[in-house]
Amino acid sequence: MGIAKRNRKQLVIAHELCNGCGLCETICSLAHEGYVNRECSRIRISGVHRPIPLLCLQCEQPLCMEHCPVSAIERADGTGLLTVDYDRCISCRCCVITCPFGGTHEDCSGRMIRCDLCGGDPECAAYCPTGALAITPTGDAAAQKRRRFALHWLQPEADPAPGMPVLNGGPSHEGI
Amino acid sequence: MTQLQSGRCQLPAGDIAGRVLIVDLQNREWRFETLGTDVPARFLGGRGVSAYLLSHYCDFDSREAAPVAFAPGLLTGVVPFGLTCLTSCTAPGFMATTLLQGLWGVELKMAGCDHLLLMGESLSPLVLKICNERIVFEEATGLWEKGFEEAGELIAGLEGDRDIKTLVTVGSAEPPPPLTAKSPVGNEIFRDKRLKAISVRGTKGLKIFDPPAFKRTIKNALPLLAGQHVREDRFLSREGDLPLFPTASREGDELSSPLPPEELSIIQDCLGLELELDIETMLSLVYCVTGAQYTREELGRAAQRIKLAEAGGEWE
Repeated sequence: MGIAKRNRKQLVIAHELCNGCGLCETICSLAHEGYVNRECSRIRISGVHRPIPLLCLQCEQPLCMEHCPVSAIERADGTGLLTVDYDRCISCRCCVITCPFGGTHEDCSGRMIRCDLCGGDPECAAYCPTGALAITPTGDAAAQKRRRFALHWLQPEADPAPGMPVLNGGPSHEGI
Repeated sequence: MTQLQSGRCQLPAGDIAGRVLIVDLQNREWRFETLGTDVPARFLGGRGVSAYLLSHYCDFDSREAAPVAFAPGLLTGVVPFGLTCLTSCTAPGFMATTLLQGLWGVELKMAGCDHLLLMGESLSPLVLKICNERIVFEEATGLWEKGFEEAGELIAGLEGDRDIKTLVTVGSAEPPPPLTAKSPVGNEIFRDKRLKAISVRGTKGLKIFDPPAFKRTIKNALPLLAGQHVREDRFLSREGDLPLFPTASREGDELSSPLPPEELSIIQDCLGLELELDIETMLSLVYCVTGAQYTREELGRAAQRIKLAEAGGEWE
């Protein structure tokens, strides 16, 4: 991975820390639309019995971009973030169908929306009360996860996160 | 945004606090009404406006109609963990309020209903469906004996919309869910009305009066939010088990505040707050979201007024 790609930013989700307060959805819709509506939030909390925040993961090989018939999804120069050109978008929902994570969805006006990381400084992460959402360079994301897992392995009783996977081969909690 | 004035209190009329959907279950009729300009300002929202609605629209001393008011709090939908009040005249001259967790009340607000008032009793088992401005009455003969999980799944499946929020009563042969054990009044009322479920889908937005101030206030309250626990009921595949519990047992009533605990509890119900917030943060949030500028004393007077209304007394 080149230096430029490693320095791209990514929103890392520690789903085990999410308490499902929904503030990310509130802040996201307020920032993008000027009012509160979960439908218009680029990040959505989903899940049964446990909350799991889901959003566009800014894939390196995005299926949505590959399958967009009108090339409305582009990678922005500089930030490398996936963006949608709404002048070209025909709302065919190919991006919704091809995304394996449900990262793109339709808002209440029929527009296909996805997380744009607020241009690189996502508001949801700034307002997440539990630290479940954190913006980090892509190259550092895995290192952070590894470090957390290693700490949990060494001191499982000291880690308050209930959703961390266990090392004895038991089932992990819901993950993306 | 339309503003109304009552003393120093200002609330947007018919915007986030004053739109009432009144449903007559017996005749299967419905209408929207917008409350007078002073009502939301004097009764805050949630539990307070429910008390006003039941005493204003219904024969307060009669058990016959057994009206029920649903009222999401003033801040429900914009502040995490919002609550919805369910108020009913359970006995002549007496109102009982219980609280619903989950996103059903938020969805009701998103559908453009600040309050829902159910009048009368259906002649046959019924499902009430609310989708923005569209209200549909559907026979629930096949659903009546179904368990709340199965019925909720069936309704969501029939609508083809997994984001639909449905409030479902338990089946007659089904033991009540754990949370209803403390106060199964909600299920009894629904059974009396032959109402199996109320499903809601709303796609409208909620306006914030002062977004920058709202974000500042939320930022300051983040440490409080971090300690809140996951409510598992919110993430059930349906919002269906009428999880009711008595107001008096709620945590937060012991908060240090210049308001007496009972009045503070009423205010929290009106705002739809499940969080343990201090009174200054509450006042600030009310201003940021609605534009209403209350003082502690005004909140205290509103709580007294609501208490009086709930007890069947006359308010000024």
